[in-house]
Amino acid sequence: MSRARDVASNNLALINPTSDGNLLTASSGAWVSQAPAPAPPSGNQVEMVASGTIANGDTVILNSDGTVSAITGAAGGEFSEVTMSNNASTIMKTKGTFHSVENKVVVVCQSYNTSTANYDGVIMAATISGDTLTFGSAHVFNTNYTNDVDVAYDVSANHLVVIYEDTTSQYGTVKAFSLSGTTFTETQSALRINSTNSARSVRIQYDPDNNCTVQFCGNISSSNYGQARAIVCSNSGALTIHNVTTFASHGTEKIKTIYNTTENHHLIVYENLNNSNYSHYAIVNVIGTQATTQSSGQSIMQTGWEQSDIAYNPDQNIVAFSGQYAGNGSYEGYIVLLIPSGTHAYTNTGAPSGTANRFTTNPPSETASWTRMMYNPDTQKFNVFWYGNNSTTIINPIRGAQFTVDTSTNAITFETAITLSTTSGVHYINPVYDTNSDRMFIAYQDQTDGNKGHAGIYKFPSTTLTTSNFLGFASGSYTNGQTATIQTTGNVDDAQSGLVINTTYFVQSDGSLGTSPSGLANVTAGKAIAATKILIA
Amino acid sequence: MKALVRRSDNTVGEFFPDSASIALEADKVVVTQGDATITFPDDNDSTMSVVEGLEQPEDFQPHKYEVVDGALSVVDGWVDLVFDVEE
Repeated sequence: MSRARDVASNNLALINPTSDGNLLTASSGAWVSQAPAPAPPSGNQVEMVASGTIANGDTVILNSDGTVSAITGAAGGEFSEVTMSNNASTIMKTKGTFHSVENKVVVVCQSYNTSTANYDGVIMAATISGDTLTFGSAHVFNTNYTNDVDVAYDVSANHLVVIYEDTTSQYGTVKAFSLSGTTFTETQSALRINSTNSARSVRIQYDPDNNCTVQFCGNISSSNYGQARAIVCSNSGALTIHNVTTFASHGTEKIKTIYNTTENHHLIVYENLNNSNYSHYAIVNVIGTQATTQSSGQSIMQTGWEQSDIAYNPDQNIVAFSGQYAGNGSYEGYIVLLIPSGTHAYTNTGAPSGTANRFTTNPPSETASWTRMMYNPDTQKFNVFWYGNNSTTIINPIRGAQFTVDTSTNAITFETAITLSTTSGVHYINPVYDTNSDRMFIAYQDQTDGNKGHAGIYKFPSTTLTTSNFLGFASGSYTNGQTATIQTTGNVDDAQSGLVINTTYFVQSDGSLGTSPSGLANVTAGKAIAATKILIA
Repeated sequence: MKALVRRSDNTVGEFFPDSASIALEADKVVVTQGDATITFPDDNDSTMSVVEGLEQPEDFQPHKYEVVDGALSVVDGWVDLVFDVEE
């Protein structure tokens, strides 16, 4: 038994070490037993207000408002992968758009008809509900041989405008459809866009500033010159094609377009058939109902750049240009940035040098085929998709990576590329972002299933963890608003299980511990000193 | 078959089956085949004519053949178009 003085009462206190450890204090001539004040916790720790529920031993982040939360995250990958409705057919050249009134992903494609041994033109609508994807019936819109196809949703007219190359002579042709549920009704029969001339690389895009669509193509009958026309759709779905503008007086193919909502123009990127297929751009806007070339046939870079696509980030007013870089012989996937500069012009970050702008993995070197891009307005990140091949572990699945751009330096920060599909052997991948369900839809040809059309919902893994917000481990369980004690660097958390002594652990995207870094944020948790204890890094 | 012929150079732009109906109008050309209709808004009865009784050559390309005395012949100096082999 030892003796001390209670500072508060100035009474003598006796500690009985053989009993319950309570204090015996003298009070009014009698001994009274009372629990000692809690011992101050040992090691580094902070007390912060919990935001949400935190369990004992949880990994914890510091939020921007000064509260703390358990780390949360979700796995990425493929969800609800289905065979598209015309499932007996070979599918090629899929394109798509989102119908924001019916909340459907609309897909057009070239579809092999086994009865007629012909490639029909087909349109169909997909519904996304949560993580579930379903298709309505396929509507055959062209029973002639159908080559390239594209579709745009004319928001102002609430109709879909489909462009396609009709017959083996590739006559450029448009039609319009209304959509109710998943049922299409043709409101405009076939209109030839350019008399009896042939077209290649037909594309169509909505112009939100002029309430029309604009079609783009190479005119095969006129040296493949790049041409564009405004197409106005009435509320009843009748189309009027307006006068042509020539945006490139050289051969064009592999046309890709975006609409720049800040500069109010259409950016067209294409390969120049008369200059070694090097990438060029042009700019068209619509004045009244007249498509007007504002910038014609400008070189982007004089090097091999294939399998390309572009996407526009309206939040930063920049364009990302993805491609398979043949210029260095690697055929790996890279990004070039196109930055608006002056009136109707763009500068660019040039042919890749080094590996800073590479989105594919190496080693082993991964090639990127059929790169396709979207900008995700919800995460404010560019998404690039491709089918990759490194001849060992990656054999043509759908791959994807997210990235952001620091516009002060044009530096690109890529998240780790991941394999999204369970199928290895895809082609003609085409993403569409559903802004209603906030899901990324990708249709593709499944070469492991007779080249049928397949589609799924694809997610990147997500997490609240960043490289800078990890705080430590919760030393108890807390509910929202309670003051939580968080053990920090140098402290030992003893609420773990199954750890391997002397192993360094990393914080995972869902807050768990793992022996390799999360693909989203490389954060070291600490070193295991017992199966239940980790020395916090 | 029926040939839609461009008057300016007398070349065949497109062939249609004999069952197709081709209407040359003042402001457009309209071709009807069963339930399907194809409209040529850039063309009219001044820019196009119809020639019947022709067979489509296997190597036909738009405006490769001209109609001479009711028969088809390849346009002088014609170089075959290269169609889509891309994506």
